[in-house]
Amino acid sequence: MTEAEIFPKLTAVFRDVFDNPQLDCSDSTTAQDVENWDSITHVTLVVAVEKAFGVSFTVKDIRGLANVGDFRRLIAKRVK
Amino acid sequence: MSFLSAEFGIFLALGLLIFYLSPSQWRPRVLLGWSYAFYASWSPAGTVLLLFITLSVYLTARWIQGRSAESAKFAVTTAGVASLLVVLIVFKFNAWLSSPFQALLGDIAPGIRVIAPLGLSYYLFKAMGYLLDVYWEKVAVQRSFVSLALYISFFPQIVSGPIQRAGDFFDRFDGLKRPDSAEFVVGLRRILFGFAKKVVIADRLAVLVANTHSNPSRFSSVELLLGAYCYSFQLYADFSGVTDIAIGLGLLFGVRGPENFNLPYFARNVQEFWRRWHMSLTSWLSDYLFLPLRMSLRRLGTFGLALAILVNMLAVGLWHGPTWAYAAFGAINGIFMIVSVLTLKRRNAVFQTHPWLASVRRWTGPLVTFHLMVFAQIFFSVSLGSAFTYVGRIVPFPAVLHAGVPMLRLSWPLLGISVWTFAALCAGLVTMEAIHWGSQHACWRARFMSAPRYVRWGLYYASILIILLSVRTTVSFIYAQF
Amino acid sequence: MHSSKCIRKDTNVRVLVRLCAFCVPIFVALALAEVWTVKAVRSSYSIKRQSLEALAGQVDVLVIGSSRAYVGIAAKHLSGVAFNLAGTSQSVDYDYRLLNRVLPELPKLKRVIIEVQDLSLFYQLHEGSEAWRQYFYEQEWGISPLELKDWLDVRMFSRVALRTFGFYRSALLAAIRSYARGTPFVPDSSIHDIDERGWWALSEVKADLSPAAAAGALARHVSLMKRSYEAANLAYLTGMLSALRQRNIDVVLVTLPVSTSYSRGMNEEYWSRTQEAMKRITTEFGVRYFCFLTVPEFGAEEFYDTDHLSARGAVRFTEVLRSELERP
Repeated sequence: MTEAEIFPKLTAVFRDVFDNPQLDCSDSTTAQDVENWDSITHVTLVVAVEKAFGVSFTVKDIRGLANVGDFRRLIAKRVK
Repeated sequence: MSFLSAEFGIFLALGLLIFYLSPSQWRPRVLLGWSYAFYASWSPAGTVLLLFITLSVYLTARWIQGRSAESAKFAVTTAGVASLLVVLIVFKFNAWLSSPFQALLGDIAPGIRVIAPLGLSYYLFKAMGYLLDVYWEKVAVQRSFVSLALYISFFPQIVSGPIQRAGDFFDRFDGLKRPDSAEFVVGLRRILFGFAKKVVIADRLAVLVANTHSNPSRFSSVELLLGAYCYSFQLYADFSGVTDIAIGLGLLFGVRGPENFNLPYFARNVQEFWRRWHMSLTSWLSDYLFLPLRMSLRRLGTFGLALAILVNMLAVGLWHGPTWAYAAFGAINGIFMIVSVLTLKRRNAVFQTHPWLASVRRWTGPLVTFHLMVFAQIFFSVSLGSAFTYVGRIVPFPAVLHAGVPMLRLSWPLLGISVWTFAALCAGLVTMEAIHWGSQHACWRARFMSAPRYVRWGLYYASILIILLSVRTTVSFIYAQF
Repeated sequence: MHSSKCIRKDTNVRVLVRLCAFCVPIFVALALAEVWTVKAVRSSYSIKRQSLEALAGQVDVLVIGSSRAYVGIAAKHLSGVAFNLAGTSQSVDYDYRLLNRVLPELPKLKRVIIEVQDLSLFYQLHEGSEAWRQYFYEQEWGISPLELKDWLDVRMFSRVALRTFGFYRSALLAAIRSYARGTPFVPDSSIHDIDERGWWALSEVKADLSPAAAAGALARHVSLMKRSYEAANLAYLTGMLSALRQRNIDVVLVTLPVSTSYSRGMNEEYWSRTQEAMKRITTEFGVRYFCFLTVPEFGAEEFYDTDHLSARGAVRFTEVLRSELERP
């Protein structure tokens, strides 16, 4: 899967988890920018991403995430 | 020494003098020495423990950094965090743990009353957080022992927080070496505000609360309800006041600590409340307990979520102390949060289909959340049994429980406070929240700073006067004794 | 061209200057408060000192001891010009030092009445919750605290610090009230019942002389008493007696009445030791000792509480004491 393909799929997962069909995120989007993105929904998001992309994350991976861009790069790394 | 004592004032003045007269490269060392002097004034033995723990964490972190073998790193980190946790549990739960043995030992070995060292919960959490951050590569290992030791023992934060993250503290180290004078003044304002909250509002509300909470059976439902509300505000004013003093003191030395409160009683639901109350603790638990726990339970779906939330909230409760009341407090909050989280999507859907309800929700959300928290905080204030009595007596029925006390009475003399003092306190609370709200909005901050100096200074002088007039001392001047 | 370091230094200096400017009115206010407390705020200590100074040339009888003597001996009912220099919680070490301080100023002094009670030999002021009185003695009489650690206190020189926040708060409220009513403002009105001879007339109340009330007072006193003070306190007592004997001043030791509930609960050991000491002293120094510990005629109206006399009781007792003194 290329990086270009990851982004639309990731956006779809975000829209589903946060219940916001209009949600648009870029590489620099953080938890502060999205309503309802807290520590609880964060793991819901992670589980949804794992299911959508067929990957598995460790706590270390998750702790290192600062924004959506980091998440995208992490997915790309894991998918390989 | 307590922050609110004359000796501390002298200690602080001296410390500031030495700090600012030292060359900037020496300032971290000077501050470290002063923090240890502060700790030693409480207990030299505790200082040895603090030093020992700091040294162990320093060495462990440096060891972890060098390794490449994942399993070894994991094992050592787990062992490190576990030992720190054991130290915390042994000291905090000493009474709980030793009570089964007390019955056996009886008179032979009267209980060794081990007092938990000052700020143990705070500095151990800092140490554990640092260790985990190094393992998760969120923070670079600290090569300077002085810097790490200063982070863990920094005296404004060691007594009652806030719990600053290692990365945050080390990032701002330049600010420590060359403090900004504007930050110094901000620090002084914070200290003044903190004192005002603690002395003028919290300690005065405490009079009423002490009466209602020590003897609930003497009061009516209305009085007990008032007592519960006052306790919630007393807790808020007290804790946020002490935190403001701590943050302000840090700013005097160029260290900006994390915030602990963000208008918590305006929260729209329980999850949001816990993101606004005692933020440095809840975000710590969220990052270092909830997240790893939730990740390992994620395959268990909703049950996993509920369990993780419950464990997290129990930890919040028990962190305060080893009592059933604190555990109940945690459990109640856990249940509230689970219900709120699981029903949020459905509630949102309901409000989306009825848009007129959304404007009502803006008011009912915070109001309901506030009342849920008032209820939970009753368990924070007294022992478990008393809490049940208290809650039971707020409910106006069955009438047999209220024998002798009219349900709807509101007796100010019995509550121990005059109606004028209470009105003044309410005005004070509104002012306090207004200041909290205003300080978050840049336009209001700018408006305040652009006011003429005599206005601002006049407010400061008035605040100092009000604080001095509100101080309650226990020394009674009545001719007594003999 | 200013480097950023120079600019920062400039702003730092400006902030420092402004900080000092801010503190100036605070120090000025404290200085004014200090002046006001010296001028306008009286204490029992300042009143007694001023009264004694006014009568110094005439005083021929001095009463010294603790609060029981302070409220229990109405000096104006004694023959001659008597002055009551006893004080609340005034322990025997303070009696000694106070006596030394005033002796040179009392040329006509002929007799000193020293109060002895159950705490006399076993208590010193610096111990316990009344220790704040040390600083009143320091400021009014120049008598410094015994223990060096008590010297490290702002109350050694500041009058403002002698009082609690509560005092200033109620003073402010009373001042506002007096201004509103047009009456003169007097801070600390509780000291008005001290007469010009230093006697504090306690109001008549229906005293509670029950065993429970006595138990409370006894418990408080016992917690202050220590065997280790006995030798030192005896030395103070005998020191006073020697100094007075040298000046040919007559000394009378007196124990004031307490309620029966109090005397029944007194610590046997401490009291018997005190009585033995009194026996030795009376023979060694040839002084009289009047022990009025129990006076059956004194009832609830003569007492203020279980171990202090009311104004009425004090007048009655002083008459009794006077007749005893006049007996050859």
